[in-house]
Amino acid sequence: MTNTLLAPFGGSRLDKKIHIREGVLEDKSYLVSWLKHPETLRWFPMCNDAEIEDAANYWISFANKGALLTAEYEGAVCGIINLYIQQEEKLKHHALLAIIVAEEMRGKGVGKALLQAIEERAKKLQIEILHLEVYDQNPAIYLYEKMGFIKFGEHAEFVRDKMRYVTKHCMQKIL
Amino acid sequence: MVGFSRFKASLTGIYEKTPIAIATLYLMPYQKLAHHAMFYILVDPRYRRKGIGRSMLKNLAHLAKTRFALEHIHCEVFSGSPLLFLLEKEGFTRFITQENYVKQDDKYLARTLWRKSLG
Repeated sequence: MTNTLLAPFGGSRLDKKIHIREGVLEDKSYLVSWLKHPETLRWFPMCNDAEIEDAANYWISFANKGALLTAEYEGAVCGIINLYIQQEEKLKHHALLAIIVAEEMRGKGVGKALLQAIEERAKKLQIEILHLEVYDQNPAIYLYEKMGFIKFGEHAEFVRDKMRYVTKHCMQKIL
Repeated sequence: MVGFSRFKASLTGIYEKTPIAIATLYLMPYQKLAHHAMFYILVDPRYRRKGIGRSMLKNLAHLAKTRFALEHIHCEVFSGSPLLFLLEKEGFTRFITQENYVKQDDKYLARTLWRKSLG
């Protein structure tokens, strides 16, 4: 299953094509390199190479379940999204998603294209509810709201980073 | 649940030499999240309403604070769970409600998340 989507925002962004393809295990190297960028890592719970490696292994493993999609912009890999497919039968109707876009490729509609594509994939997997977790002040919150995600709760003091606490917001979208 | 026993993060309640309850801290695998943990408590249905859950909860909170220096603990509970009453009584506060979290026989149940500061 492959989608090619026009970048959804206006202006010069429309003349570039974003290609969404199936994620593969080999995409892990991109994931790791993006996560190692400090400005990206601040929005994730990991804080060192070992934690990034563990998280990336788990994240990329969803390629084997048809729940990982990769974005390319002019042929260059620039974003990854996945669904954490639930194993328990009683919970399989919803899934947590995780998304990452390369720092230098933000603001080009890649995130929106990935979210649209994973929504379609989720429907094919009989998923009724998508949910996500995002830290306070992450600019991506505006994109999630625009895409129809609604906040349903927050976990205060979820992250402690150098004695600074950060709240985690929980958002969901009913498909 | 018992996997965390290797970190000494799990307690077992014993009655007359027989295990009747387990309470476990799910220690977070990331340093930035290591100041809190989710927990689960399970009491043998034959021994419920005898204060065992309350005792397990108190001991687990003590373990969380003294051994792991946790600042808060939290748990998830499905609607209708007998644990709800105990959590309220022990000073936990509800901070997240997620509707339709469980689906069984085409019926949906919400989950609520409860937390308590150990400060």
